[in-house]
Amino acid sequence: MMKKLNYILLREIRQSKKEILTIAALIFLGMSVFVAYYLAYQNLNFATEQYYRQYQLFDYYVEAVNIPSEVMVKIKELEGVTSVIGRISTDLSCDLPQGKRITLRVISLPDRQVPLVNQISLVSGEFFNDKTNNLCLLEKKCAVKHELKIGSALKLIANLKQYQFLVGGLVISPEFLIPTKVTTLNSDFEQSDGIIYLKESVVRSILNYQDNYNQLQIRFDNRATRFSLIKRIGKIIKPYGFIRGVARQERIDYHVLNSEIKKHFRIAWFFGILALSIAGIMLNMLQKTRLNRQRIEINVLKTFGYSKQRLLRHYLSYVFLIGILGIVPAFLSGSFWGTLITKHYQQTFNIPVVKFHLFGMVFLLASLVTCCFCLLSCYQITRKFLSIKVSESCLNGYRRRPRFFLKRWTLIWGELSFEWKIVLRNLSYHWDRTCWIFWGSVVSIAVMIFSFFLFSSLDFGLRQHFNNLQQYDLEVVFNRPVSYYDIMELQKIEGISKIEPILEVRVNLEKDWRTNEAKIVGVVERSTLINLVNQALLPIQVSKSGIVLSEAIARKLGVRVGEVVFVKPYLGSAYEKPIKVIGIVKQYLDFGCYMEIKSLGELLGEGSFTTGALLKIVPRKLQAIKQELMNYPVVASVIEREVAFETRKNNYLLIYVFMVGLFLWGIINNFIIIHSSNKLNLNERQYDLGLLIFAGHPLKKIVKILFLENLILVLISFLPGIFLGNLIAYLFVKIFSYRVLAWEMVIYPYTYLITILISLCLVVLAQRANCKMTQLDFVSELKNREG
Amino acid sequence: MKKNLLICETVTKDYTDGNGLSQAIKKVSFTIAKGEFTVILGPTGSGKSTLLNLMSGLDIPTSGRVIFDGAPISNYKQHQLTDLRRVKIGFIFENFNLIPSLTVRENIEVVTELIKFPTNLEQILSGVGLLERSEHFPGQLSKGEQQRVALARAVAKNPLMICCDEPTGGLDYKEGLIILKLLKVINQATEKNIVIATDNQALAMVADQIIKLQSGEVLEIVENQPPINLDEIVW
Repeated sequence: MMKKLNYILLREIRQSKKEILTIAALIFLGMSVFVAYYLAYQNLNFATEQYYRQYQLFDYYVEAVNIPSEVMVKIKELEGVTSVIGRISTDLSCDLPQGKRITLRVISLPDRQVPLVNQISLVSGEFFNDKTNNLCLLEKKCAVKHELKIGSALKLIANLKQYQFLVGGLVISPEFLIPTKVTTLNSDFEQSDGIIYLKESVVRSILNYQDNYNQLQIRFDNRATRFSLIKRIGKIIKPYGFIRGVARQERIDYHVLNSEIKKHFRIAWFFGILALSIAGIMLNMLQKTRLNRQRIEINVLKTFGYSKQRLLRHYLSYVFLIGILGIVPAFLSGSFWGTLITKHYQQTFNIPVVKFHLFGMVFLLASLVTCCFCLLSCYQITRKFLSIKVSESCLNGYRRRPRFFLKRWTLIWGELSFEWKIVLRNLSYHWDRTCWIFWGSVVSIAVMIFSFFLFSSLDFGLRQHFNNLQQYDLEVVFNRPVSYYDIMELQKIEGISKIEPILEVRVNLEKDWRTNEAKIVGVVERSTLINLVNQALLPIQVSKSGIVLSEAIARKLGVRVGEVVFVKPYLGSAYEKPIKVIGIVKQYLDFGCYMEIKSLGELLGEGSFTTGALLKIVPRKLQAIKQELMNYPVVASVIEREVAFETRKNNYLLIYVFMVGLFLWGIINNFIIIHSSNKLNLNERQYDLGLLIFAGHPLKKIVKILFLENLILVLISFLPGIFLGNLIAYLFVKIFSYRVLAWEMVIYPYTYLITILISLCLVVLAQRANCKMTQLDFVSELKNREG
Repeated sequence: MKKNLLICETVTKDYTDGNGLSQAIKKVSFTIAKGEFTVILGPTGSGKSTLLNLMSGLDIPTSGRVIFDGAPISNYKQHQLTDLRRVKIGFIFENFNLIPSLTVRENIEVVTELIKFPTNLEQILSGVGLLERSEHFPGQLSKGEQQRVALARAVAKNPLMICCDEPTGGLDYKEGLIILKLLKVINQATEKNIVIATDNQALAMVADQIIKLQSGEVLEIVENQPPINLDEIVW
């Protein structure tokens, strides 16, 4: 049979269901995010690790100009190396059946077997066979993106010849889990639109490779000392035109994927703890009010022999139940959202999650964290109340309150109306609640301002980059180096008003002990299609006398104008050369460096050549120009600046979602804080307010008093809220600028206006949500209390 | 000769408040025999409630000894006092102090479920005349009925002593008399000790022993031989 204390508990829950539901909803929201993101994190982590292990992802890969196959044997003999494969990889232009030209990364695979390292997984179709040499395997994401199917014909262009291949199968590889993207000038990402796998013998014949490779993929033994092994491999490869060696962890896509997965873990904890902290404070206030109201009941129960521990359990079970009420539906909703998030990432990153696991540990952790927060938030206050001696708790006396400070200033105090006196006194007496609403409001305003800042700053950066710094309409990328003078031929195409050649080279920059991998873009002197400006937004020109670095790279290298950096191009014949820094350029995205195009060619020791061109065109001729450009076999792709802008915006979709989420959270947070505090305030003061009504004050006045209390707190929280929002934005700019984007401190005046208006609306809405208070029978509360 | 249930030996209780130390009870000594009906009589502020708290194990004295049923409860720790109150002491408050979220029956059960051998609930409810109202909540009862529930709650666990702090304080004469009669019946039928703290002179007339308090000191202890009939008292 149910204990009578449980009866009390259940009836109490029924009576205070609104307050309970508000807090439970907050726990539900926070823990839904926690469960969803933690489950997604566990599933993605588990799936990628399993996938890497199963499909033998490389530990280290080496790029060189020509690696003979016997070198591979030499490396395999090194202690700690478990397997090595050689392959040929290069970017080639490819004409699609629908007439579009894209750039594909061609990778050779053994003719008859799956490679030992970086094994591919066949999603559909079949592997190569001995009967035909014109079959290729296509990366699944690329096939989906370009609407290619098994049997689709692809025309690869190599050495100005076309080779036709039929898609024999769709594959995924642990090496390319991150999709390739359409990018623009100076992007850090690879420029291929997808991966195509061909038989090794076929690649050798079309690219004229004899018995050599240009890449080695290596797997190490887990116990191997990697550092010394990598050093030894570097020494072996050096005579064969060593370009670079990259460990798995250093590869940008592996790194990005890993940090994306870890982001889920951080989001889970951040939002979980944040929501529980707020819920904890609200629970504490609710429990305090509840204990205050039940002093007599506590006294009675203790008088009749209920021990402190038993009552502690009873009172804490109330908060525990609120936690359960929030966490149980959060399990369901979290699992649902977790599945969706995992699916989304699975599709975005090609992660082959075979089955979505509901990791019991996540639910256990969520329950444990919630219970701990709920119990800890109320344990101290409950214990304190229950420690009051029975004989003392019998004393039903009034609390002695300190003299209100304004009372000393009789001139002011005397002028105040009766309701203002009540408002000010109440704010001063219930200091904890006053602080809670004030700080809650400050944080919410700051969060709203910060989310506006994120939006404004990102938008500003994108517009500056694509509309002000880039003045061209089209970027043409060639599939092989082209003579500087040959591209002027393109100017004959009708509608092209201006053309500027560019040369893009990946290099390693060094200054003392600091190094940075970057891309140098060679542009013509006095370029009008690329607008370079310094930190003071004054124009900078490239010249033969040196290199212009982006602000981000200059910071990383610790270099200033006038100093020298060492530039080592990733090309076999080029050696490291010192170059003077002649300027530091302001960039918002895609941090790179600029040089005068001929100087860059000389640096490479290859003479005057280009890898692309920037075009200014007559807008109405766009389609015709694009069509004509694609007729040139040397043209790999044509990228519209406007399209690149939209593509980039879409790439930042997650940041936009985060902004909206943050903004909504700020609003909900503020509403919940004001609403719940209002509710507690009403509960606590029914007796006092009843007395006012009994004395003849109209109900309207009571509503006004409560409204004024909230309004004052929200009004005085504007300035600190705006200050805090600006501070967070400033710190964000300082900490996160130059990682992916150069965030600018952009907060428009409308941000403050909207935030203030929303906060004021929330006060009214919270009051309206509590408007049932007009139906409260204050006087009957008075009678009950007297009874 | 009757055995003593409670002995107070030079009991003192000090309180510290904003004005410094104040003595609520000053070296009070008396005994209460088993089965006695005792009234602690004194004006407001004389220390009646404090003394009642010390006698019922709600509080411990600053000095002196309180011996209840042969055990020195003044040396008891809090958990021992809790055990003592759970089994041996019943309490009735001036303001009834019923739990508003429990029905009449549940208000009594909340106490009896702590006890191994409680009194029959139906019997008690019918004894106080509330059997038919057992499923009502305190808010639905009159003040007199509420006090009767409080009385039933105190009796239900079959204690040795029932302490009543101004049990008729908030009631009118008629309702007060009912409570007093019930207390007297319980005292006579079950030989349970009843201790009433009151400032009402009239109530003292029904007691076997009257302990008169003034400013925390015992003014005099009067044995009422024999106590007057309940129907004769008026206030």
